[in-house]
Order: sequence, then C-alpha cells, then structure tokens
Amino acid sequence: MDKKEVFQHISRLAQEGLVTKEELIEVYLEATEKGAQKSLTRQSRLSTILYFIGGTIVFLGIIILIGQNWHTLNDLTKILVTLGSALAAFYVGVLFSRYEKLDTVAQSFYFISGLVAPIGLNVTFDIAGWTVTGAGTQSFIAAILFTMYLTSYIFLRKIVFMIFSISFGTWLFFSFSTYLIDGNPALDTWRVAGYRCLIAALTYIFLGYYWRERESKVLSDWLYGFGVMGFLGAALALGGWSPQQNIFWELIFPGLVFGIIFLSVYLKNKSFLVFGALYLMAYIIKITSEYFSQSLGWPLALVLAGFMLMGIGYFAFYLNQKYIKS
Amino acid sequence: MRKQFKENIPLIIGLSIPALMIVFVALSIYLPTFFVQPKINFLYSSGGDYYSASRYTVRDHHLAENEIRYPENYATARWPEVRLFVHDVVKNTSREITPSEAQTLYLDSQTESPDGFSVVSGSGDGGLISIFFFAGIDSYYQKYIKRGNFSRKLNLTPDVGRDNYYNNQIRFIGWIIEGAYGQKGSFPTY
Repeated sequence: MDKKEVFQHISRLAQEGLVTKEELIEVYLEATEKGAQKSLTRQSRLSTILYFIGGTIVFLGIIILIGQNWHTLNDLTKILVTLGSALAAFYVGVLFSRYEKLDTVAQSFYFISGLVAPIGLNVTFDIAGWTVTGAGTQSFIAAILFTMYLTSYIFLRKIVFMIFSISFGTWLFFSFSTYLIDGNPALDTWRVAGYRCLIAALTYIFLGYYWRERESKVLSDWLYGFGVMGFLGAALALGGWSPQQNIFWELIFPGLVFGIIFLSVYLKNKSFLVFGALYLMAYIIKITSEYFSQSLGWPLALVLAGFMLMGIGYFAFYLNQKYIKS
Repeated sequence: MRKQFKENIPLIIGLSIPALMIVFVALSIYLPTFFVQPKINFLYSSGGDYYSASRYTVRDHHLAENEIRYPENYATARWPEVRLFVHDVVKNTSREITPSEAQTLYLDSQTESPDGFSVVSGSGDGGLISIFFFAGIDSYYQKYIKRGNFSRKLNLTPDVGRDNYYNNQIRFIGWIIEGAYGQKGSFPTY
C-alpha cells in the first residue's frame, strides 16, 4: 500500500465518521514515541557495552602496569595497587550509584572491582604467608568474594553483583570440593571433574529458570546457555570412550538430550534447542565411531551419521519455527 | 508465604544441588574411614637421589643393602642421606630405625599388603577452575594408603612435597609382617 492509497483510505474513513482527528494524532504520536524509545534503548545499550569494554581495558591496563613494575614494588604497595584498586573502584561505583544518570558508569566501576578483587586477595594472602596455590586458601578467597558480592547484590540490587556472585560461587564450589578431595586416589579424577561440571551446569539452569521472569532476561539466557552447554558436555564426557565407556551415561544421554530439546519448547528458549541439537549430533558421531566404524566400515558409518545429522538439523529447524518463534 | 516458597523453588533447588554434592563428597571420603582401618605397618626409606633408589631392597623377606655406583665426578653430598623409617598405619606416624634394626624385620615387598592396602601417590587433582590457580596440584607429591574406596593421607617423614618427585626421596620398601614393628601396632621400645 503506497502513501497515496493510505491517505485515500483515511479520507474515506473520516468521511464515514469512523475515525476522528484526535484519534489520528494520538496514533501518530504513539508511533513516533515508540520509535524514539527504541532508538534510545539502542543508544543506551551501545553506551553500556562501551562502558564495560572500557572497564575491561582499565582492568588490563592495571594488570600490565602492575606486572611490569612488580619487582620494584614493596609488599604494602603491592597490596595497595591490587586490593586497594578493587576497593577504590567499588567505592567509586557506590558514589556514582547515587545518581540515576550515572548508574551504568557505576556498574562499570563495580565490574572493574570484581575483576581486580581476586588478584588483590591472592596477593594479600601470598604476602601474609599463605599458600595461595592450595585449594584451602582458594576456597577461603572465593568464599570472601562470594559473600561480599552476594551481600552487595542484596543491598544494592545491581545485576553485575549477581554475575560476580555466580562466578565466585562457582569458583567456591570447585575449590572447596578440591580441598575436600585433596588428591584422594580413591576417587577417579576425571569422573569427579565431570560430575562437578554437571552439578554446576544444572545449578545454572535452575538459576536461569528462576531469573527468567525477574531482574534480567539476558542473565537468564546466559545462564541457560552455559548451563545446557556444561550439562550436556559433562554428560557426554562421563560416557567415556570404548573400551572404558560408562554404559549408564551412554544409554541415558539421548534421553537427556531429548529432554533438553523438549524444554526448549516449554521454556521457549533457543539455546536449549541449539545445544541440544549440536550435542545430539556429537553423540551420533561418537557412537558411530565407537561401535559402528569397525563393523560397518568408516564410509558407510559416515553416510549413516550424515543422514542422521541432516535429520536432526531439520527437526531442530521445524521445532524452532513451529513452537519457539511463534 | 506458601506462594513465595513456590516461586523460590528453582532458586532453592539450584543452590541445594551443589551443597548436597559437597556433603556427598565429604561422606564418601570420611565415612569409609570409620569402617576400614589398615593394620599392617610398612618400612620406607627417605633421602638420597636418583641413583640411591635401589640402595635398599627386600631379599628373602629381609632388608638387603646394595652397593650404589655413581658416575665419575658426581656430587653425592648434594642430597640428604638415605634414612629408614617404620610407619605406624594406625597412629599415622613414622619413626626412624637403623639398618641393623630393619634387618630383623620380616618383610613383604608386594605393592599390596596381605590385608589389601597399597601405598600410592595422590591424584594431583586441581579441579576445573582450581587448575587455573594451580590449586591442589601439590597432592600429586603426597602419599596415601588406599584400599577400594578408602584412602588416607600418610604423614611421612620428611614432609613430602615437590622434592619427592624430582629427588625420588620417599621409597616404599615392604610391609612388616613379623618382627619388632609387626602387625599389631605400637612401636616397642628398644
């Protein structure tokens, strides 16, 4: 419909008394305001990205500056430039948070603080004589950071604190479990690592579900993405490789994948569908090379695997079009 | 209240899962120690270098001292002297003994004791994230006594660390079946 036809149509409706001048003006104003809002949202998103890129560059600059001058600094100065910088950045963020217009700038300072604080604590404990490479010390540092950022989130309600809380919580989980295991030879190293990844990823999925209708949908999507990737990756790895395969995980894996794909429809989330399809393809390639390459021969096994991959790809596309996009 | 609880179920489950796994790992490590106890002490040597690894061996169930041939101009004084220790597996303590005392012991040089235990190195597991901070990697240099799911860190003398790997210091010699430091536990007085 071109402009001339639109005006003719409006003119006909006006003559028949179906639209009024005020109604037409209201619709026009609403449309232009939405467009302006969209443009403003795009602008604010861009400036947010730039703030955080800037924060990352500041962090890199601090690290490089400290690294280049490390041997010339005394112990107190080392603590001040690392832990001191982290605390200073945090405090600056709190000051900027008081002004609504500077809220995004405040969050970028919190971001710098979150990146530098682990280094600051490691340096401090190292100077204090603790064995920072030990799992016990790492657990303690992770626990301090997790508590600090979770408390900050509870009081200040900034999403950057939740991101760091999740990161430090994950670090705490892995380091504390390492501290408990303590190189125990009765536990299979790779199997335990696989189970830990599985549990951490499952936690991410549940947290993503919790946040999907709350604070930030973006956080929820990221948690879903990392969660599904980690969960299926760990489950596939736990299946092992013939002849040391784990039959339980090899048999249960297809069920897990189809469960994830089903959840993509229920949660209307693409990352479940994409990773589910990708891991199903990886599983087919793994099983084909493990069990069928010798009996059927590689060429035929590859042909069969290829057809199955095509089928999975079409199935994923069909689900996306019918249930998720709609 | 109930509605709030229902809304927070995913969060509660999400946080409970890793906590439960930590509890499960702790139980799987510490629970077997209540039901399984090693009983047979063992003899080991500490100190020396790569060449003195074969200084003490077991021959006809008794300790035998072998001659060590060093290359020319080799600085033997660089490394600590080889010493013999008996480890009490019940108390998890070691006591130094002389070679003549050790020769009175009846030894089993099999890696596995008659009650199924073996002395092994740690797995050096650093975990996923801890790997980036090298946490836990030193456990590779620790010694453990292990049987099935049971495993316990050994307090050997001297404290094992990276030197154990490079200098090959702690060397298991044999299980003490009979003799002054035999099966039933505490060190007798000499």
